Amino acid sequence: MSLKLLHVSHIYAKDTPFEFAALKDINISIDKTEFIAIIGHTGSGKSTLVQHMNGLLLPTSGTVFIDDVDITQNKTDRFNARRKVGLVFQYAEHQLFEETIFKDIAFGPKNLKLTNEEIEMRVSEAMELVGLNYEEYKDRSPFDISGGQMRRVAIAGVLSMKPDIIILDEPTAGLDPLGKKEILNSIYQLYKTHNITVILVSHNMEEVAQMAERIIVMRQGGIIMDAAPAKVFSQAEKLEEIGLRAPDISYLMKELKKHGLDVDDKIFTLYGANEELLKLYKRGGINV
Amino acid sequence: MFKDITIGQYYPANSPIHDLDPRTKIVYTFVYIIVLFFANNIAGYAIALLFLALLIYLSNIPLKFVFKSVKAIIIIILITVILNVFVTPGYILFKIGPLKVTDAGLINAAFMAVRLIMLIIGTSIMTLTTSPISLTDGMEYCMRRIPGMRAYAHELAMMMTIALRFIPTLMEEADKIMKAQKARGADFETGGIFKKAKSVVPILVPLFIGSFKRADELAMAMEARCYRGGEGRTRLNELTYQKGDTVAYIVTAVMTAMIIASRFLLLLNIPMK
Amino acid sequence: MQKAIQVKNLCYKYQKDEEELTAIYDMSFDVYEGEFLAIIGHNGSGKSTLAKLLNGIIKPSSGDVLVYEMNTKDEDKIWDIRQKAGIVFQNPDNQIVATIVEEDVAFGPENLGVEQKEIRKRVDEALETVKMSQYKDRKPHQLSGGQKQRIAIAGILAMQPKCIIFDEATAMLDPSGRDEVLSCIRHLNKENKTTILYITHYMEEIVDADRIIVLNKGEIAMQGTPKEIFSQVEPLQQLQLDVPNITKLAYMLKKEGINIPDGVLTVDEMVGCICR
Repeated sequence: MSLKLLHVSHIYAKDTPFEFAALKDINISIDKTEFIAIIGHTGSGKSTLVQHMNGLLLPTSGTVFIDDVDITQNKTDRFNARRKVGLVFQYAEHQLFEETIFKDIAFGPKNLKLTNEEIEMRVSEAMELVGLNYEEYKDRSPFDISGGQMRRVAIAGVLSMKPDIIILDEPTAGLDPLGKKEILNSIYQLYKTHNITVILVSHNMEEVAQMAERIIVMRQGGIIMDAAPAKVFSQAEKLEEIGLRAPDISYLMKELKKHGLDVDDKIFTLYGANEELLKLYKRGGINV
Repeated sequence: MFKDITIGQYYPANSPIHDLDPRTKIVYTFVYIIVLFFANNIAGYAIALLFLALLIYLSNIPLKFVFKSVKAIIIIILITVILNVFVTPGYILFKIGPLKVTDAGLINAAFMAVRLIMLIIGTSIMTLTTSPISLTDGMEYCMRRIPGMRAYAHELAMMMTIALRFIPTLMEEADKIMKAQKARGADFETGGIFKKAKSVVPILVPLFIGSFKRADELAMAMEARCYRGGEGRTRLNELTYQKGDTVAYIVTAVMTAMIIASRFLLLLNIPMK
Repeated sequence: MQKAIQVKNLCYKYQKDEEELTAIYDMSFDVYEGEFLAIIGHNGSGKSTLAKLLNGIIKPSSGDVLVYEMNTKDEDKIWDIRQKAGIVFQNPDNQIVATIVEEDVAFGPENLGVEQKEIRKRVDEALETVKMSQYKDRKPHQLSGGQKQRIAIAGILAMQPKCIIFDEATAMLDPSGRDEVLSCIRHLNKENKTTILYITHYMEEIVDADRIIVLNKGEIAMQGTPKEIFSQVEPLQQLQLDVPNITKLAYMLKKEGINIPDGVLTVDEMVGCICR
């Protein structure tokens, strides 16, 4: 499985007074199972970018390769691309339309013209993946459950296509802490146990810091950083310039180091910081 | 990107016609439609055409846009012309099979066609020069003057306003839902009519559900902001007549008088036809 | 201190599939004039139902809600109540009525039958307060989420309320939109002395509230100052609420025996505690 974007640019309303360059010369290459976060402000081009990854939008210039097939050339390739690269939109529960949860999740597999047995298998698998019990929920109306559950149904609707890559655009937007935690846990499990590449679009650093292995930072339609979290957070000033922040823990560790404490200032996770500070305490490095 | 589409056919520009009060334009259009039916000879049509030409000239709207509206009803015009040519009795000029073409038929047909075209252009000047928002305002004010309509004027205008407010929002939503279903392998492009009709269900159902939710929340927000119908409501921007409106009303009156007068030219035995 | 809102033995029951459910169960508390009171709870804790009860959109099954001494059950007073205690909802799109920003801000005062000149003045002032004056001729759909919410706030301000209720007003915004709206709310509370009742499920938004009430299953589970509330990390987690990471870290270290005070909220405080 591989996904490559080469010199991708996208201009909205070209040759009109409203012309607007949403993406400028984007180059991304994904060739192994990774957990990637795309971070940026509203309007930085994140949503436009991910819609190029499965051919929903076509670049004004540049090419998109999925498994070495250029999907910008013909429709059949794009149709196949959407099976390989699943995209879950923001507020995905707004796309639900069927009478039962089963039927809604089966929409994708049906479009792939699979057999009934295969469809049933995929739906039940997808539901288990997002933490919804198949027997309990399959015949219920998708409009009769909580907001967090609705969103999980919508995610299952994409998972049932069995994509190699799943892109989630702001999957936790508007949910309460419990709903958030449940969704993020399911996504992480997906990556850990099912070998699926996850691309998480977010503007919440705290949220992605704990999970992502690679962070792509976007600004005004371009990529300004593409690196491991520790490296991205070490350039906190650069993040602040574009109105983003490193996680609080990262700031704390840096402050502590500045105050002369012997700690690793590259740490940015809660558990990492806890361990590091305990070690220091046991060595007698904290006198409180 | 549906964000900047124009709703209706409003053509933004700077012109004395754009600056007129919407009420003036509504009244003018209304009067214009009526007096067009008073015109029954070349003089009458010539006068109406003259005023229309003046209006188009003043409005600063490219002719291309003005004639766009005619294109939409070209079929209706053709049918009217054909019917008039063949069914009007009179001196027979020539025959095509069983169909007779008369002199009166030709003249009638020409008049009808011209009348329809002028009617359409006249009304579309109003919609081209008035934004939907001020058109709504104007309609509300005009309706209040009509006995029996007063009670509905505010409600209708409020419905129009809310519709205008939510059209861009809903279009964006429709676009998003369509993409989301495409991402799940939906195909909206190929297949026959039946298949295509079926394929819009996954777009329409979520759109409707979303709209009802919006309506519900909006109603609550409006109530929370003390909305209780049109009774006792004041307005931030009351419509006020300017100098140009007075001129426009005088012009309307002159036009009306001239066209009605043109009918009597015949009675005075001045040969015009 | 004068009471802006009094909630007395408030109950709210509703029907769903022929089953009677209780959303609010015997709740009592007061909102004092000029304070910033935060109400926090997970989805289903009854916080949104509470917001609608406070402003008379729905009526109590039993008990009373008094807004500046006016009972929400009193139909004659309902418009006065809504003028005194305005409410800003969650979805920025679904509370803007008019097609032009300034006309939307005018919507409230227009409904109250305020004189034209006075409406103009109020609209201009309200837009100034939320720093949106230069957008007054825009169409709502051209604005960002944060800007739309500020317009919604201006629309309430133009009714000249004494108290504003925010019902998860930042839940659908991105971080910068949330910052815009929050700083606007703080400004109203500090400068205009507007009483703020802020309902949310984000703990990190309310670290500088005057007082916090934590709801669970339609009842008050905790109340106190942010310090008092945030120091109870485990009970909060049991209520499905999420404390900021710094607070969590302080709590974890304290459990290991490091002497850190309760309820540390910010990076600076934490640094101060460790580097003494």
